Amino acid sequence: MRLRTLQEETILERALAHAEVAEMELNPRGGVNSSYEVRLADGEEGIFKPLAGVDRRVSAHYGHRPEQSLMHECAAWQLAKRLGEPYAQLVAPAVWRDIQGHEGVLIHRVSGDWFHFDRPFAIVPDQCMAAALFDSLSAQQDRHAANYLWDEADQRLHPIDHGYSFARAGDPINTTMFAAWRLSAAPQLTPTELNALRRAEATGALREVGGLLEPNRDAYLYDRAGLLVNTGQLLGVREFGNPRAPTAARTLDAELSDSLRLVRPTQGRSIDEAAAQACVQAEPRRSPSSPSRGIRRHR
Amino acid sequence: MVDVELYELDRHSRRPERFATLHVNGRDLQIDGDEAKAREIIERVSVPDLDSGATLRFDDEPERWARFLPAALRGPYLTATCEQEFPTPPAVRDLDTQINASRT
Repeated sequence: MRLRTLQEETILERALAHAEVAEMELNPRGGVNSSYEVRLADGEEGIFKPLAGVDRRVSAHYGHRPEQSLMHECAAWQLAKRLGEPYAQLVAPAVWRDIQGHEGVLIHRVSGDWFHFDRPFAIVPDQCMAAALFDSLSAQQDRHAANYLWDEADQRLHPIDHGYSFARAGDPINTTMFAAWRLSAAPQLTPTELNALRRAEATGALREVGGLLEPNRDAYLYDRAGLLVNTGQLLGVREFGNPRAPTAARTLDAELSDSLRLVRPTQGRSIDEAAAQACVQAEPRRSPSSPSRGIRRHR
Repeated sequence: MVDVELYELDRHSRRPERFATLHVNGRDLQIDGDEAKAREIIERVSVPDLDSGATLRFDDEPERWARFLPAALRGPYLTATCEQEFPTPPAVRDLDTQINASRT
């Protein structure tokens, strides 16, 4: 299995994949997808989502088989790792493993709290910008206000729950807060972001992640990467699973407008100001733009 | 009438604690528990309507939104339960029984 190799690349991945389980406890009100709190013998902690605990009805709604939804947790981490920073800091490492006879995904515990919905937008708009690009590239289908954590001490944003991502044409999107926020004010990708995407394609990293997806699902990932590079702009929701030729005038989709109403940054700044400032912070020195190398279209 | 229980993971015990229960009847809403937190969820979380495929905000159809809230708050940090819409499936009960049995 290809993932078995990919998830051996870092010390933390190897620990998650192989360390003995010291404690494991069912989260008794863990939501429609059952989950277990896990502590490994080496002290690392994680959330184990067993394959048998995935709610089939919700999974089917988003167009996924249960095993795909768990594999997408792993694929999202592999994608973030290959894109490098800041994405590898945003996404928690996740590995596929067997625990006590049950296959599933073990996700490293990230620090952070909930009910701090506006803090990331106000404090670390650059991380929100990165989350927007990551969700756009991975076609995240359900990034609502309860699907990210905020670590006040480290000032870190952690989007969580990547199971329903890597959407195909026609797959439903519930909401996508970060993308909506960024599309409203700073949809242009920075040279650094464009370089990260080009590098992922040129080095075969994108293909490695695509290899973890279903055969007809990987093509959408390659197309999204191509569209992002060729247009230099964040994708609209309708483009997540349905890439199309770029248009000169891009308008917000109705879904994005709806998502945007959920974002309420504080500290007296409008979302436009926060996103624009994040753009400047992310690119203190703008290098001369290079012509797009035109990532290949794969369909 | 739909009753939805809202839980958050306790930071110390790592176990879910109920912080509010929503009682939604048509467009009428009654909140028992931490109203401020419950209002945050109501105002900010959109949910997938698993029957129609649409995205629902609370204001669209409160009772329907409540029914499908567990599909959005899947956990493990913030979760919702609604036995009317998402009764615990036998597969999950069996899984827990198996895993508990293997631990003893």
